[in-house]
Amino acid sequence: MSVEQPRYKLNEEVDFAIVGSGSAGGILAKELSTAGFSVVVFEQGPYRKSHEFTDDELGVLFYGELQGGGSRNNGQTFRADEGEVATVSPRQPADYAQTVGGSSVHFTGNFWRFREIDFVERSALGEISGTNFADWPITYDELEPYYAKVDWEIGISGEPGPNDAPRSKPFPLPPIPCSGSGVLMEKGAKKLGLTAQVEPHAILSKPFNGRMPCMHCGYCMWYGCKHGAKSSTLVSMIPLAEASGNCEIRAESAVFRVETNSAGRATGVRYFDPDGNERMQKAKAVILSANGAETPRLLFMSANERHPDGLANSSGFVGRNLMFNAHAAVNGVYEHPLNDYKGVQVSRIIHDFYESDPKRGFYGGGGLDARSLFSATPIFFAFAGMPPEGPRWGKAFKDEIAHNFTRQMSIVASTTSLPLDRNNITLDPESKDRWGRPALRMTYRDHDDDLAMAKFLQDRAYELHDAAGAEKFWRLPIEPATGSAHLLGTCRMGNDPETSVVDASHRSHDISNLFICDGSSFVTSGRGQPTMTIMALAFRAAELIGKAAKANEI
Amino acid sequence: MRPDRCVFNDDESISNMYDEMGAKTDTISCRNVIASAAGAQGKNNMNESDISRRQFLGAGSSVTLAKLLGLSAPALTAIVETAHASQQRGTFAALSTEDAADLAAVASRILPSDDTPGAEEAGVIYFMDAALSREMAGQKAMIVEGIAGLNQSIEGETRFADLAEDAQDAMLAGIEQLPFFNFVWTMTMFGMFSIPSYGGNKNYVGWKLLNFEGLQAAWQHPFGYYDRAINGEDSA
Repeated sequence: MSVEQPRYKLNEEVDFAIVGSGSAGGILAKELSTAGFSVVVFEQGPYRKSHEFTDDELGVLFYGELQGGGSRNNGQTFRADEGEVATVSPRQPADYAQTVGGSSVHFTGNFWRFREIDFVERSALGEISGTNFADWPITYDELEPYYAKVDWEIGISGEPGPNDAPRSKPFPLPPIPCSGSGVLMEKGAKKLGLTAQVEPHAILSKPFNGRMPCMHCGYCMWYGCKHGAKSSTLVSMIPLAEASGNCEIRAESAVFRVETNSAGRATGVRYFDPDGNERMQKAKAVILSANGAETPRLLFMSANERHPDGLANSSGFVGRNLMFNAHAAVNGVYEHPLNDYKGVQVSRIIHDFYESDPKRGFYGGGGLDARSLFSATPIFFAFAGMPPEGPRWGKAFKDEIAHNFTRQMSIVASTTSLPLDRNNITLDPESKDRWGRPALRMTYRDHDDDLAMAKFLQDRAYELHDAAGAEKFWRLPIEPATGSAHLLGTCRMGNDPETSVVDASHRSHDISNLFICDGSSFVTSGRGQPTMTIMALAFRAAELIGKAAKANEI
Repeated sequence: MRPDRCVFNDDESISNMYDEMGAKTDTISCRNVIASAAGAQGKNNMNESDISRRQFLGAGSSVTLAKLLGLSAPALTAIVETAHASQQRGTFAALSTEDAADLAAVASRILPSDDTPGAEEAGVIYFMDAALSREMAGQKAMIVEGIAGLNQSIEGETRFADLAEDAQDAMLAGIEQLPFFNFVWTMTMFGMFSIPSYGGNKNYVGWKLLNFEGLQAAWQHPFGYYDRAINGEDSA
């Protein structure tokens, strides 16, 4: 792009300061800047381009190359219950990328739409005692045009499944060809009377909008795509925002406060620049798209005398109702090599258990996918891919990893999570991140129904391996989650200011020029792949926010 | 200050290595799956109390991978340079020749050489030495003490590296739950399977062992046996 980014002055009141450049922030930046608004996007990580991404497993998986150095630098803490003292763990509870494009850079690219039921499940099923289970303030029909926009602007490959929600436009790109794990899932599904369907991907199967298609190199999950074929906002949206001439991407800039004035309006954001100096950017409106953990953290960090419990928190719902999607898996070893380390992680999924079924005796629904998982890269495989009872060193261990690596696949279950008061994001009273900001503290314990659903689907995964002819297959124990990359529900949208943080157009109930759009906006968790819905919400929010700005209603 | 490049110097038990795997898996949000996998393999069970006779191996000390895992980019570059320099000279930056021989011998029992290459052919020891000379310098004492402990329990002047393989295996079987062994195990996997620029996986022997062709940046279907029927004959 030959258009140079504008450099807005700190005291120049830009139209929008957007915090976060990921799935939501990247889209909002592109939509608002191309509509003529001046935009500054704040990203705490560096600005890496596609050619800078590496296939270095040690760097990416262990050194937190794309995650700001991981837990050590970020200081996040975790506890299962509010009575406990949260501790820093090398296992980073809120797992997200710190790089321009955010977690859309390192996610796997699995891309499920929600269905109609996801938005109205509370009405359909009734109250679930002890939870904040609720309907969304919008329906699938209202969001569908924006799902279609995601398909066609971001670049999605796939074909409709038998039980998918209706779509107004076809997929722009055909499916990525089926891998061995997909073939085996189809075989197992057929025997069991289930339906294996094509996995939709935010990865290009053909050239699209001047971008290269997938080369099947296999470095999707956790890695940035060096080919630019993964449809991150880094490659699909940010270049268009920059080309507008109205958007400045301010990387390595960590926001620590949204400023508000006595009139109850946001006036801009305070941040650390790349040299660690405090700066303040003035803005007419602020949009938080920092993800479902960082957004509530920033609202808490922005507390002041007028907003002692954090900004936009008159409801007390900021940080609450954190949802992950529960998971379970079964590993299987097959007679012949699959070589599933090549290509995308997933090519077939089963959505026959999507809906909650009262006959199961618990709430929940979910999906199954066949994927390489552990057998995508060797260090990960050596650590976690082997059967539990096997040897862990010596000749027998070496022979087993050598035999299994190309012959193994996993069937992974992803399920609903219920929104609970006890699962939340707050500020840690002790721990700090590398900028000295109070670290985020996560409190989380799965609802029993979430784990029951994970168990139910794990049993189906076990049957699928058996039916597909696996020589050896084993369950991985289901344990309560201690963190996630899916960070949902912590500033939920709703019509009632007493039980939600933002309204149906993502405007905070309390502060009229403060908007929030990311995973925190979710009311329910969906069935396991939230990114597409985050992106659809962002396109819709951008349209509504842009309209309001043009009508001087911000 | 460049906040993105700061290193957070906390101390964590080696057993948290497996938690770290869980963290990474979170990117696909299967963290609990991975944690379970690690737990199921007994790798979390590091807090055994009856370790007095093995104190010499450092079980009571806080062994940490944190510094390695929190390495900054310049530090990584330094490790790579050290590894290359050591390999070219045939000497070691952090370890004495004797200690390096013993440590290499432990790695060789974890991934032995037989009809296929093992830790020795991969040059795992060069990965370890490079790491111990820089950001893991804090762990060097534990490693040296661990090696000394092994040798103290052998009679006479014989060192661990001089023992027969069976005798080495018997000794290691007695310490496989201890941090020293787990630390070396982890380093062995890193040295065997990480990209060669870190000093190990020489000539990609680790990857060849698994039939992993991780360097090829593009593939065509079919990938393996099971997708041939739908994707045609193997063109790779």
